[in-house]
Amino acid sequence: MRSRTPLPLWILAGAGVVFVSLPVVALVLRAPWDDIASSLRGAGASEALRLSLVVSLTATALSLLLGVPLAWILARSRIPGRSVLRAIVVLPIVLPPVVGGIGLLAALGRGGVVGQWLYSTFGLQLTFTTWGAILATTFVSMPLVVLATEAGLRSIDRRYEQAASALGASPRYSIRRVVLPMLGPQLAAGAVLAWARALSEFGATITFAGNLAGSTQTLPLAVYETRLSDPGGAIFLSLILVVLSVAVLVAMRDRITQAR
Amino acid sequence: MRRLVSLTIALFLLAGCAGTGDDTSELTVFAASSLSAAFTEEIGPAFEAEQEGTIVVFNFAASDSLAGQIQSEGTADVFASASGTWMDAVQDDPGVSDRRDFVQNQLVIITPPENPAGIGSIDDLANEGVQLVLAAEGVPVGDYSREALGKAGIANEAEANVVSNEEDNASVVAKIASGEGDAGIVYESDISAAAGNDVVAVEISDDVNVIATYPIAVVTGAPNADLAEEFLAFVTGPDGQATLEEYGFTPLT
Amino acid sequence: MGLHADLVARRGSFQVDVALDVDGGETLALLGPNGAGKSTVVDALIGTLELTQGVIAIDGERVDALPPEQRPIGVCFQDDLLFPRLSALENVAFPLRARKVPKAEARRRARALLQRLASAVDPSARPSSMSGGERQRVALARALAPDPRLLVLDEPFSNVDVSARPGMRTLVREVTRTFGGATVLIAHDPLDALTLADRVALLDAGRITQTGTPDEIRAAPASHYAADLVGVNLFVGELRPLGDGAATLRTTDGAITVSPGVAVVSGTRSIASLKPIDVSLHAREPEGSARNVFRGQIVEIADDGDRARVRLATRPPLTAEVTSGSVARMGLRTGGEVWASFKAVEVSLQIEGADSAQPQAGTLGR
Repeated sequence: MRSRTPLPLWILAGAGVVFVSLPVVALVLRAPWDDIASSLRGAGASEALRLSLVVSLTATALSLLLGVPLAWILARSRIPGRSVLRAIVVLPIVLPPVVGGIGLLAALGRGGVVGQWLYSTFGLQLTFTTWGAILATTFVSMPLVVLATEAGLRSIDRRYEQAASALGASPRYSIRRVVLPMLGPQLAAGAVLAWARALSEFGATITFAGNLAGSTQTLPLAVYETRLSDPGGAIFLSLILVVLSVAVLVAMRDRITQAR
Repeated sequence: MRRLVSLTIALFLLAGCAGTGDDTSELTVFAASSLSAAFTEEIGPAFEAEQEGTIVVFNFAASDSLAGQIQSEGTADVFASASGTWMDAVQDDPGVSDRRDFVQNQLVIITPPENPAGIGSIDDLANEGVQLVLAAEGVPVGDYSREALGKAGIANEAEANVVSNEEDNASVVAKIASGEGDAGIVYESDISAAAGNDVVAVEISDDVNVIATYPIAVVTGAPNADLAEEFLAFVTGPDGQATLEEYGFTPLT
Repeated sequence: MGLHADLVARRGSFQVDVALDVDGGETLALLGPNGAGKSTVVDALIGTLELTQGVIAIDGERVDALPPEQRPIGVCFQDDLLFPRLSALENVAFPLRARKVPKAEARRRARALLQRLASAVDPSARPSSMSGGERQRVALARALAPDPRLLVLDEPFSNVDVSARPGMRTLVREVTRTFGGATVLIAHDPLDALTLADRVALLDAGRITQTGTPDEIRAAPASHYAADLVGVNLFVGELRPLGDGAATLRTTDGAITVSPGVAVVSGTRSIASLKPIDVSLHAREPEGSARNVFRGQIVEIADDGDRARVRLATRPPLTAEVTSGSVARMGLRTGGEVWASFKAVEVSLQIEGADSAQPQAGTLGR
């Protein structure tokens, strides 16, 4: 069977593949494989990896916890000003992460609008803490969950919910047993996107939570700190990130683009 | 489809074209970020006025970062580093000429306006619970800070108080100025009146303070070597030195 | 007891204003063309649409102020609307679980219903793996699960394959006959109403234009739609096999020859329908293979543009549809005698108790 894909398409696609994969290939080639053990140790790899996993997974969970109900309000409720609300919620995707970090400082820093109240009343400080890193990461990840979930909710026929209610289901039961299961694929896709974003988060984290090995230095921050003083270590840290991401993306396979 | 390809090629050419004027000379100066205020506000314009038809393009970052860029990119004419270490690195590869020290900087402790932790001297940085913000190791001011803490005999206690390793001195100032963290260590030049930051300075006594000596040099293979020499002359000349003193540095010549 | 509804409901600029009274055990069919307001009435009964004014009472208790989930209703929807991520069993158990019935009991009752109404369906199967007919059976079971006091069947056959419809109709008839509460059946196809309902209400532009038993409407159709409705030839009676694969269907006012396609036991009850267009008229006794040939007087000729409906006092009575040209050519007039014929295989047969026989090839799609 003759291919129906024209040659120019192959060439351009090939160029795209080379462009995207070349940096990764170069990393593998440049890594000082002989020194791998000491290099990783020196760069604080295990701490950074642990923190990255803790922060990204917690941020993803928080994003789902807050983002799904938010998406529901946007898709289903009739409160006025929904489009403004949606714009605000999606803003973190469009803003440079550093700007998000600065905003978080202004709000939740020790001298922040809400932060200073938290500090003086409870002695609670979020900057320079792992929770601070989690918050900064959630800030940039949640919009992805909201967008994916809202799209999913809009694609579900409302009549299923009407049917559920006619058959005796309270709104809560209907959401739990009918809507959420139907939303499954879109939720999963949103969660994966949010997690991928959380894993690579840098700007908001370093601005709001700072950079300290063991408490806030996730893999991207560690790469940035070691890149000149220990290039080999930085390359290995980068490869860890690449491997993590590829593993999850391959596991998800078509489900990200399909979402059905 | 064909239009898209043509458009892409056109954009590429346009991007590449930026900055290749023939009748204006362009001097590229890589300088440590502590020099940014002094260079962009006064020294740069003054040099341009003196050298008609010249535009000075600055690239400010932490000296370690700049050294790395010079080694991989090689478009710098002048390198002004905050430490000898990174100038040494560039001297090894790709090499420098006419290297000289042109200014000095001292360290100073900064605290937020209310000084919540009551820092009065460098020894207070060892107090329990003080939130100390430093530049990361490898960044010149980060290394100098730790050197000073070592000289004061509180290296370990202070290191335990570090809550964040920032990527450059500007980030340290930003954190302290916004009230995050109890204290930080940066250069005098970072908090001079001209810099206009909202922090309180706590002096570090001379016996433990670290003097950072800034070297400047022409990078080997510089496209505008002659112009680079002129810049070095200007910076080490009376006008340049006076400006630098205005911005909190200690002049050398 | 049963359903008493006297309501006005509005959807956008469209308004329905209807009164429905259905006794317990009775089935009322709501018939009407597209856009008549059938789904608006359904939504009002279910509670998805709020009443502008009026009452809905089930077994004497008012429900119009209650949200849908609190009304004692069971609904079988037009597109079955089985929940895609739940198995057949879970779907049927859903109304029970929603009412906090313990899981084990809910499953037990659901399993019994599935066994009775959809025995060929695997309880653990998902809707996506079932045929349209199977899904509708499960939907019917799901509607009955909560022991409702009002059963609403919203065009339950629209998603069902034409060949499976007779079987579904038999099933629904069995269900409605044993169901103690009132049943409201929404139908588009008159045959559904005529074979399943005790009474019929004709809905048009939001108002009921006529109610009555199928015979009452047939005797005095009050609208164009009603006339079209009763134009379908309907025969109810018992089958007697003829030995060559054919059978006679004996009704109270005559007998016709039909082609069951399956072996039948003598005396089996059956309902048959025949479209007027399949009845041919002849001036003289026709030759040919048609097994059904009748002679009788013309009772009425109703002209409808280029077609005409001719009612005959044959035994059994027949309605034929022919071109106006034919009427003129044959010189048909009221009171005149004419021959009518149709083929046994063109009769659509519903045999009681079986997933029944269908018209043979050639008549489907007309």
